[in-house]
Amino acid sequence: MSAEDVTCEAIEAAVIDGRSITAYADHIAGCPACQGLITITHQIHDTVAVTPHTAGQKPQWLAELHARRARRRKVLAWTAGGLAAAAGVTALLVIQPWSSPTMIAEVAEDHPLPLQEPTVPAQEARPATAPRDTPPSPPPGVGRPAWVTSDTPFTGYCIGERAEALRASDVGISCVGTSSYRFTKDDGRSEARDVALEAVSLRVAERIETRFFTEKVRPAYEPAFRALHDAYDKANDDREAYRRLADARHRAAIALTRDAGASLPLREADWYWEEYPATDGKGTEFMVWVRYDLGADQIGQLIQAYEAARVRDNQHVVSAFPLLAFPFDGFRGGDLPADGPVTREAVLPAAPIR
Amino acid sequence: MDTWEARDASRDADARRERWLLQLVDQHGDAAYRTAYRLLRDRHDAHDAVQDALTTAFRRWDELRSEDAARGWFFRILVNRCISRQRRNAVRTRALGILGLAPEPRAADDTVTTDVGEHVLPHLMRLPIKQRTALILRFGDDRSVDEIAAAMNIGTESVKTHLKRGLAELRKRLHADAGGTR
Repeated sequence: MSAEDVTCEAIEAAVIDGRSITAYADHIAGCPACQGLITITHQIHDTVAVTPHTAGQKPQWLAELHARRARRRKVLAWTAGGLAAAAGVTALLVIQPWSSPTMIAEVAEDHPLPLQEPTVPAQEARPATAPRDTPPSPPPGVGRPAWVTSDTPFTGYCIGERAEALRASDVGISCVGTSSYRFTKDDGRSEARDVALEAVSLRVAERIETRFFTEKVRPAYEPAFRALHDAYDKANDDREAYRRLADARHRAAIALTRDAGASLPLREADWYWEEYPATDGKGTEFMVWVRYDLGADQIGQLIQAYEAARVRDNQHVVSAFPLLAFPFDGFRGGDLPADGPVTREAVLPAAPIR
Repeated sequence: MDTWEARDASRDADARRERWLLQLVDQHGDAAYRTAYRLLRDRHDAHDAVQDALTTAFRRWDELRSEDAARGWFFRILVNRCISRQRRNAVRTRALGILGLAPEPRAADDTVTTDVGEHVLPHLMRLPIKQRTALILRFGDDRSVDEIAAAMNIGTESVKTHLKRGLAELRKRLHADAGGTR
């Protein structure tokens, strides 16, 4: 079909009907009106596109309906009080005989918990005998903290600038991760931490506007990110889908904590857990929530960390965005050449640029 | 049918209806919320529109001829709810404007917008409701013309007319905005 045979009306009709326009490529190449038409349709798409899969967008009631099958009767609940009250927590733990020694050590030494390597789900790892972490008996009357607004297992959400009630004097964000049902609080806490850090990464990604990021980095991770989340969402008790998502989240969390430096809070601001009877009737399981608070300056530093190119070994590099852990198995962060494609070779160089 | 049988039948129907509603939410809840959000540009309005649509679907379940048609049927209810809500919002905004109490436009904090997209959005939202709805469903939600026609309860030719006029108007406004003459 020659360019002369084609009319702009025919192309408009094809665009409206959703038919292929490749046959009109010659005409479009020389016709600003048709180029404008196609550009506008793309702009409409970009304008109204909702960010992929941030659980915070999901209405609470919808999330609850999704989680209905998983919900079980809560038997115990306890909040850890958070770093802000570290001294108080220490005192509390000391006077409570059921306290986990690990927790006392964490609070007393005041350094971040090391992130564990991806592990098999606790249900598989748990010994058949009594659990290592004897469930404490929390004082009566402990309710969910205000920042726990969803109990959909294994999802995260951010409480943003609009949450005046939580952060009246700041314009930062609070990101919360919810674990799946785990057999120990430690497993749950580690998993919830990964989920919360994924929520942080998503929020940061929304605000990075460099061309390299929007044209190279985001397209590199987004399809795999969506695919893993969709597979998990659609699957019903599919351990493999769970494991793939959990591993990717953990890799992303490791990368973020390694590369973000002081931009990321050393530890979570607060955490909270609830104990439920296990589905098999043997023992109990824990659901854990972890919250990270990031001030506006920290968000700015994080954006800067993943936006700004710098020279290292005569090469322009940027920090590799954590969500690249979704498409690339061995990803652990580090730097990425800022002037090339985001391929496995670039993300996982034989000799990592560090 | 005696009273007990009638009661049992009614309970069975309720259980079926509830199962069906949960299935609908499970399969189409996220998509419905995304569509409502795209049309309304407000998280709370979208939330309310989906809830309204689900309530209506639950109440009018008996009208559904086959479960295969559930998706399209529910989508139609949802789009109608969104159009009604847009009209109501427009009336409210106008009324508040007359009183000098027009609210500040709210930023959508959880959407990906490009620089150019941000430029398009105000013009898109000022188009007539049916043109805007057709454009967002077609190009934002990737719905076919047939699906949009069914959802908006109009013919396919009407949908195409709304799309053509909407695109033309959008181009005109964008050119005017950029100082263009074409």
